[in-house]
Amino acid sequence: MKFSIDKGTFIKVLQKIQGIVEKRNTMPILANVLLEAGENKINVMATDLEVFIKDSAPANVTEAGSVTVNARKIFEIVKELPDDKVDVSTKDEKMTIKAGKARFSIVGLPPKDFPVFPAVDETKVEGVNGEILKEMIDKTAFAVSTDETRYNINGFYLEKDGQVLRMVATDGHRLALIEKRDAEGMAPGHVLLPRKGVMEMRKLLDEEGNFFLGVTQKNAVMKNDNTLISIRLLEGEFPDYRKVIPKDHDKLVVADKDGLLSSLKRVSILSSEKIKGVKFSFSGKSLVVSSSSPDIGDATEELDVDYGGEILEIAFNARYFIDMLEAVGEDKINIALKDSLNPGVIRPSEDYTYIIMPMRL
Amino acid sequence: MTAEPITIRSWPRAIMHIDADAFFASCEQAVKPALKGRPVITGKERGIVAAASYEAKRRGVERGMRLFEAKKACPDAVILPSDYETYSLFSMRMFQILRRFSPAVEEYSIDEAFVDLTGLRRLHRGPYGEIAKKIQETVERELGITVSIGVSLTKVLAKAASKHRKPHGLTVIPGRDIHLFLKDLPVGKVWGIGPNTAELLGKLGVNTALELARKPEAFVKRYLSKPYIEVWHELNGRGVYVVNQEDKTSYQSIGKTRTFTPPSSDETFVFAQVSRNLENACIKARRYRLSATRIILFLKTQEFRTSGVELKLTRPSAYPLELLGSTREGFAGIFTGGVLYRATGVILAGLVPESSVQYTLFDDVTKIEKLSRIYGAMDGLSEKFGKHTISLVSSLPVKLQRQHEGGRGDVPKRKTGLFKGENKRQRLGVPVLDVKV
Repeated sequence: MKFSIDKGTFIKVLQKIQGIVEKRNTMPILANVLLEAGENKINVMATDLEVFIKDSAPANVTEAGSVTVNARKIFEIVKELPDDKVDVSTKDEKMTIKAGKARFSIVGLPPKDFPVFPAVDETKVEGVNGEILKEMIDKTAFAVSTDETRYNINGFYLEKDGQVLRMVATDGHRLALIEKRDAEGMAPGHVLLPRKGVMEMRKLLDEEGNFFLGVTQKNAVMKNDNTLISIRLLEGEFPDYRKVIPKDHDKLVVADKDGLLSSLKRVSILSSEKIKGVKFSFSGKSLVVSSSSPDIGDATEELDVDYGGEILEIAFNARYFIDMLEAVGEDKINIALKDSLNPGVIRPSEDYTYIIMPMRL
Repeated sequence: MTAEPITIRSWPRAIMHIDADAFFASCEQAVKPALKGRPVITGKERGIVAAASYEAKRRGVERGMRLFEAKKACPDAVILPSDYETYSLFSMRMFQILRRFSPAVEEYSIDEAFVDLTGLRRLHRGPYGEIAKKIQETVERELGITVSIGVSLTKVLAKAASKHRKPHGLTVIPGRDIHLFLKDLPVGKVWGIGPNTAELLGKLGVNTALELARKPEAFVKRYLSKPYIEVWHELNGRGVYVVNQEDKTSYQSIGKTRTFTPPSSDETFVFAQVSRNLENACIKARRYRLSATRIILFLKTQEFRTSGVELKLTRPSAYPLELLGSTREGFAGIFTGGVLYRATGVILAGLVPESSVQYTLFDDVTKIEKLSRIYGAMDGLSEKFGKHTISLVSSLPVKLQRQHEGGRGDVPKRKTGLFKGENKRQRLGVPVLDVKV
């Protein structure tokens, strides 16, 4: 294998795969990147066996071939090279990088040991609106469970239901649901996408260009012109989100988003360390949020809200409220409640529903 | 270098550590005067030596030894079942005596305490060593057991001092003598320094407590973590640990273990033991208003091999009714048919205050609130009619079979010879002397 490439271009493709490369190093080859030189371009591939990423960049290839080398080391080397023109060549599993007067030679592993990239069924891949997908991820990502032992909620539930594309995430305490009508892409059905893979997709969505999405039985694929990400679907049954969306909540509140966000941030300073419990007391046109910590002190703040129901007290983890308020752009939010034991339902907009379970008062 | 004192200030603080000598065995000798001077071993029901009197220790009996080994070493030893009721009475009385001398008493364990004596010299009209001597005499006279005492500037030094001479020792180390005492103390014998740290220190050329004390702060910070830096300060006579007078109100974890004889391979019976441990641990957790986020359960075989499993809960709980299902699953994973088990244990870990309970979306909140009311009522009944008035059916086999059978099933006399009006739960708070008239 032999090619020459622009340093900036090379850095960019190598940087993109760094997030995927296995840090824990259970299998040595997973710490490596697979480089493939083909017709006027190189492919750069990395995987942790859950997420596969393939990127390509234009290069002047004089001899086709492939090699795998340590992803971190090659990235560090290329970043520091003294010249813009980088020459790469291999001999067996050894790779030589030359730029200006610098010369590096690193030992790799045989490319045949590198995990096989899952086949992509092009017929199932359709164009999607990148902006919409981005919004859906951003408004649900914070609710995904970080507890790796609870694998069935350790990701995003993505569902195509007629013309509606729906994304749901939960950690058992709160649930975020967003649905977009007339959304293109993806055949009817549902999948469970792992957190890490979706976050890689989210990074890709920040790029320019057209995006394509496809789902098969085992994998979900997203690509644009140069990059392709394939993630292995999570197995397991996502809990029935329909069951936990309350329908008979009769106490309705309209609150100013920015006002609520900033006062929750202030008041929760005095909630106990681990769980940010804040008490909400609604009465007439006012909402009083308060917190107390036996060792430090207490805090209270009053806000004007639109509420006409009877007096209601309920406690929530402020963190759960703040996460959502920070992700939405609307000025006003609707909150629907029933009593201190039933969840709060927050709807900043028609297509977005956020449910939080209360804490014991 | 060894000649130079660590500090010339004699008594910036005066901390006393008191440690009862062979406590359980001494208590037995105190209530059964006929046993004085004879080798006494307690722990019959456990099959291992829980405590050995000094007469037995001199013959080679050690704590933790299997009973048949102890019998071999000392055939004429008197082996008794543990009588925790009497021991705890002696313990309470010892702490009461200490409080007569100083209000600052930390009950460190059933037979050990720290006492802050700082500033009490005028009150007791004598130097700290004299006060300690008076305390020792009082305990020994009133309780009929012997104790060893160490007095120094810090808890770590006091603890080392009380260990220095046993039994019936009294070791006083003022500031100017710390270096003389530490130079012969192996670093691994210092309170808080375990075998691994001692090994590491040995490799760094630190073998005695004095060598550690003399190391500059930079050395200690470089090689050791925070708890050891505190020990280093304490060795230098700078008190870091205070005598903590408060009762324990919070726990990181709560564990309950039960040994039973004969060992059993009956799945229902072994699980009943687990189930009872779970109930006991939950009772304690609820008493301190705590809920567990993790459960660790373990089984010990007749060969002392342990198998265990850790269960993570989706929601904090201290209600056995809720936890039993996952406990049973975990149990099924570690129980092997045909193997004889001798003990089981349950540890509730990751404890969080009950008040900060976050309800979950996929469980029924009203059910949880109902459980909380049920257990509230059950705890009320237990208070009135005794522990386990209402319990899980899965624990029932524990009630139907005695915990220990055969020779190990012997119970202490205090349990069989009740006074008029006493019952299983309500007793007079007095130890009973066993004297032939």
